[in-house]
Amino acid sequence: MRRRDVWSSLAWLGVGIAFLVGSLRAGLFRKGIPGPGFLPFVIAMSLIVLSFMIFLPALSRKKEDAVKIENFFPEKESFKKVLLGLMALFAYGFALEYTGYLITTFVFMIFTSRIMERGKWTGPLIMAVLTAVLSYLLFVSLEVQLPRGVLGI
Amino acid sequence: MEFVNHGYLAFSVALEPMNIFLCFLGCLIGTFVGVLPGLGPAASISLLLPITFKLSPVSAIIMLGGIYYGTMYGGSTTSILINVPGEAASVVTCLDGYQMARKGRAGPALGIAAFGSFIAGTFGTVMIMVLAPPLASFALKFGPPEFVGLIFMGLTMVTYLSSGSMIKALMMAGVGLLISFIGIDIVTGRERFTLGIATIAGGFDIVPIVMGLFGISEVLLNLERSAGTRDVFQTKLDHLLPDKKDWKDSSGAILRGSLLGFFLGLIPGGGGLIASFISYAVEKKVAKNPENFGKGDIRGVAGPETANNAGAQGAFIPMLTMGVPCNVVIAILIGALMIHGVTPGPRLLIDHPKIFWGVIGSMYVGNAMLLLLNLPLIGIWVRLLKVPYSYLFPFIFLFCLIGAYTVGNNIMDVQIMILFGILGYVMKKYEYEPAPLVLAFVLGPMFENALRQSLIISGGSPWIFFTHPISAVFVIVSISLLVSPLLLMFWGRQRPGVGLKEEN
Repeated sequence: MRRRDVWSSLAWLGVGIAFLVGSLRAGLFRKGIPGPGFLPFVIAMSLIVLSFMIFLPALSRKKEDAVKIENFFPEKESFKKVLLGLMALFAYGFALEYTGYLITTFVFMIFTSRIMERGKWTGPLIMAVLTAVLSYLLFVSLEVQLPRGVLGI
Repeated sequence: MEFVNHGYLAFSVALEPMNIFLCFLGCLIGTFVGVLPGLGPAASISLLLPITFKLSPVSAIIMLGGIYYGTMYGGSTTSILINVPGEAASVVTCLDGYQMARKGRAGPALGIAAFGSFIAGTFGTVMIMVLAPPLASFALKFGPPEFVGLIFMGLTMVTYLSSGSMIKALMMAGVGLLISFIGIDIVTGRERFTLGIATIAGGFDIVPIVMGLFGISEVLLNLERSAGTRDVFQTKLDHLLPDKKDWKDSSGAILRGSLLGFFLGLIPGGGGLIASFISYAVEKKVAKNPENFGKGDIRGVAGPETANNAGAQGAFIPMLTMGVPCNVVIAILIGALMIHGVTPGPRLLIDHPKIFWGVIGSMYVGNAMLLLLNLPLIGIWVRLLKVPYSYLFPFIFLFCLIGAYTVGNNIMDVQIMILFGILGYVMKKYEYEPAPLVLAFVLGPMFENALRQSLIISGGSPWIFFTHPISAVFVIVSISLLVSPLLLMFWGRQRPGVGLKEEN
């Protein structure tokens, strides 16, 4: 666990420093009273101090603790599955406005339902068609605007 | 007499046909979400937020509120039947609930959970009716320094009660505040921290953040594990009505759970989870035969399940009277009201009595509906548990995607949500809790405005927070909460939240 504390606290330290710089640029005071950068400066400073409070003890911890580190991914396939899931999400976001709700949803559902289990095609296929069509009808009836894409559907 | 008038107003709004229907819908969805492990109330309320845009603010909040306390009912079902909590506040119910099910007493366990929840929910609603109006008129006297103190105390309370490291929780609160500062500064109209990116000039919206941190990240974590089949306990679900002995055993637990849960619900960071844990600990302590706990003692189900519902109800008070969210779900409800142009706070009761009393009225209606939804229809919910996760998670993904998109019809919100999903996923791996981040994000603008106004009043002197007595009390409580972990360490004791994690 401790190795993770080292890296995570460093990441938050970076965030703190970035906001510290930003708040200095926004201006701490205006005519003697706090300006747009005042509170962000205080909070960013606190974040930096807190990061050190995690970082320093984690660093000085003995090596024995380091043995207990659980792997970041619990199983061999974990990384692949998470990556595929994320790819599907981003792809959906990028494609939605071009290919329209119906088609994008259909493809997305087929793809994602095969990430965990690669069995028959029929189950996912039926599910994807039903989901895309039924949710489309539901949203249209609720007057929720959905992107139509280049094909107009 | 006033009480009767309020009651009349409450029910006249809550019993409008449209509101009854929406309350029912909210309770139904809430139970559904509560039963399904892996989708909590926070994510599901933000999913359904866009649907409420076309409704009146009263109807919107009635439906979303129904989802919230509905999950507290539904959560117990999975805890009892498959030893997996449907949502966080039902974790302790697993201990004795599942044991009861294994002994063939799943029926009474589910029954007492539903009845206990109903009693607690109704008790909590009565308490809101009694306590909220005087509290709201008290809070009307609050000026900017008092609000600074209040919000400061709220944030320290959340971090103090968090179950992990308090330093990490404080860091998350800081990060949440910093994210809330991104965008245009309201006072000067200057852009801050936007790096010239146009999409974030207006600041972040709460919906993509919550759905990313609570929806997407949860699915990503579940994706890591290979698909195992869930073991739904095969048992006949009869004797749902607890018998005389069950009632006699659990009446004390229900009474204590209601009181305890309600008052813990009032505290920021308190709410359902902590309430259920503390109730379990209390029941074990007052019992003459504590060795029965963990082996299927009905009190171990009745107490926590009652407490988490009372807590859910109690959490509405700070929101309705002061505009301060106690937990993430309430934070989203406040966000929802703001989208509808209503700002919760001390003036809510005066400016929007229909919203104030309508929500309260709907809680009576909702709790009665939930009792019906959960007892006779329990079989349907159990069947739902048999849907494998490989079929379920694409839907959760899809809901999040559509939800994020429809908030502002902006594809950037979808990408922002996915990024927060990754952040939440990594944060959980590194043991950082997302809840303080979200609460701080919601409170950030309020906090900064009040702080700057106070310092304008005082001409820049920070002593204003100590010369105003109410604010001084808040600030002193906050500072002692921040310092106390050091003292507790000195005495070799721990914060309540830490013990909570160990029992897990």
